[in-house]
Amino acid sequence: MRVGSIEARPGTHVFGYLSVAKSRSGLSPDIPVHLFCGAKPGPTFLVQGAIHGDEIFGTIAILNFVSRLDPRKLRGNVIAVPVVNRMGFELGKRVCPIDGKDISRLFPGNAEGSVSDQIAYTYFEEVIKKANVMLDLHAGGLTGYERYVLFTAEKDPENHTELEKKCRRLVVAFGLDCAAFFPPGTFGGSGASRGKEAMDEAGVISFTVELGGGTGWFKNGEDNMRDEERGIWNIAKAMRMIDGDFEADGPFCTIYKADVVLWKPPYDGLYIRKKQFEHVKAGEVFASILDPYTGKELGHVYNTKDSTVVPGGQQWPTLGATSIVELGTPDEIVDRRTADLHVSFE
Amino acid sequence: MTLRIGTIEAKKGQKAFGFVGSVDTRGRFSAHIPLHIVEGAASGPVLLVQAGVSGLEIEPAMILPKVVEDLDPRQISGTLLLVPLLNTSGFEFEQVNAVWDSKDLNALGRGKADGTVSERMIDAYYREIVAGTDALVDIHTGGLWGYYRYAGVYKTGDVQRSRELAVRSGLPQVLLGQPEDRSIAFEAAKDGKAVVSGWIGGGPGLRDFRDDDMRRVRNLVLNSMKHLRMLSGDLESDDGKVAVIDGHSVIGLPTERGFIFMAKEKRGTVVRAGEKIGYVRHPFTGDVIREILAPRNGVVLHAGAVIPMVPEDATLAILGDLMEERMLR
Repeated sequence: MRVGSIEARPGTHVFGYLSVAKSRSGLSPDIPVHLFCGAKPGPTFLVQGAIHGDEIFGTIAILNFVSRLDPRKLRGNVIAVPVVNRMGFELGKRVCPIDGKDISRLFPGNAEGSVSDQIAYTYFEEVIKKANVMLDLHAGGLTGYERYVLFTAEKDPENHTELEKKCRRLVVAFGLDCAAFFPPGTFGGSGASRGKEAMDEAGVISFTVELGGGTGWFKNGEDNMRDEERGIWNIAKAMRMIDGDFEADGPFCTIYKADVVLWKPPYDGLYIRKKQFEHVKAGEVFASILDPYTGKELGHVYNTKDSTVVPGGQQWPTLGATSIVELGTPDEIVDRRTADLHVSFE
Repeated sequence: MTLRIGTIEAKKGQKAFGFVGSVDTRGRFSAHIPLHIVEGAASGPVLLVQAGVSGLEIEPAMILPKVVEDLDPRQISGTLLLVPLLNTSGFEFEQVNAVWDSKDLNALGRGKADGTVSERMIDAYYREIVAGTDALVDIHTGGLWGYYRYAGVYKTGDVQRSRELAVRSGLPQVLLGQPEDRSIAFEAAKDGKAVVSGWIGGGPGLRDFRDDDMRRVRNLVLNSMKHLRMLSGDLESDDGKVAVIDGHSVIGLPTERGFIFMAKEKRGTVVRAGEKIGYVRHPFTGDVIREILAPRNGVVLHAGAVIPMVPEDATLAILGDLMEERMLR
């Protein structure tokens, strides 16, 4: 198994850096890569963290996972990338600070573009395209807190493709009690759509886990890391790369159709919101914005449809520049005790 | 009799709100500080409560205006001056320092009349507000990275009066010997005022402890007023117990950088010299590259950064010797 100049023989684990680009001052934001080549053949599983440089919690789960993974007991290959956006990680920024771009929105990249475009290009060609499954670990950064699996809506809700069916199985197999998808047009820009199309074309099943975040770290940090690592193991089990039973939050996974996205209102101040999993009626106040000096209510963010707060979004009392929360209605409730969560690859 | 501070006026038994310390910036914005006045019907001490000197320590502003709203000035002796969020520009741009001149408002002493925008603003604030007070409660949080729950006292000025105010703050731990700095609070302590730094909450606890921490902020203000006999009523706290700790060790970042994990379960417990209280992991290989050890025997304060990726100047832990345990009532 080879990624860039990193090569692992069957039954071994190798760590190295994938050369991607150089900045004007000569900084090389080369990407750290753990490569596990299983003793037996099988599919390739890519797990990556910190493509948003401030979302570091998945990184820790990946480090824990690689410290315990034995390549001699592995069927297929695991590519584990603890930090994709190394410069963003260095400075605690979501985007790549060299050019201000969000690498996750640039796939399949551009070899002739800016540093981030080049990173996306090399990473897509050398890493993503070699995977059957790409698990992209995200979190709430310092100001949010999340706990759900996010995947792209199926193109035809009534008729899922084979790739889409496998994706749903893996989403449930990860082990959280909540998952969500955004119906087309609800969320995500053209960059995300272009990247998804490129991955579909390459035959890569990709989905995202949003787990953890700074504002829940004190109480939940260790639990989040444990559950995230558990989920990585579950995906390897679902892909039949290792043996073992699935472990999960509980028997059920509720998949929400997240068709309500609430956005930053035109006024700002201090933000107090409804809690995760609360049911909010159409027209009901989801959040209040207070004057930071007098405490007077400046206005409200109203919900637009009877729905449940998907466990995510901003918790810090100031608002970001984008959406502040997603709400949804159950699309499917999967009982893990009866569902087959394994997927096969030719 | 009318109390007048800058352009804000409050008669006996009234409240007022406005801005003080106004300085015009280059772009002709007004750098100023929001101030609530609660002028009691009866005479008594002047207590200043300030929060948000760092632009990322903003959670107390979610409750402080409500505390003012709920107070009846006719029931109060003396004057409560309350600044819910001092660093308005840091808050605006989500950064620790003031945006006008990149100054840390906790490091300007009592300001400078012919200095930068922030220095002039703090100079006006100190002269117009702080200098005339009897006591100062300076509320901090852990910002985005830390989580805290104690009352700090400098070993400067009228230490005994500050210590008694801290013990009655309602917070579970009191740190004696808070490190000297260049803050407004330290200047006030040097001037002999009763000064307490209330360290409450922070981003990493926001999701799970917001309501509890807002209650602690409220208790801190009202307990301080009760202790100073500005307000009647019983003191409120989590469980009535207070541990007074003489601080001896402030632990910052070790030389190795990476992910830092501190043993938060050791907060409030006694650790021995050499005991492991945290460790550093390589961010890409996961190897443990440094252990963080207690330099001396001591009690661990409920303090410090907890997110694994912390700023360069972060405090990771504070240790001290237990001096006494008291009941609040």
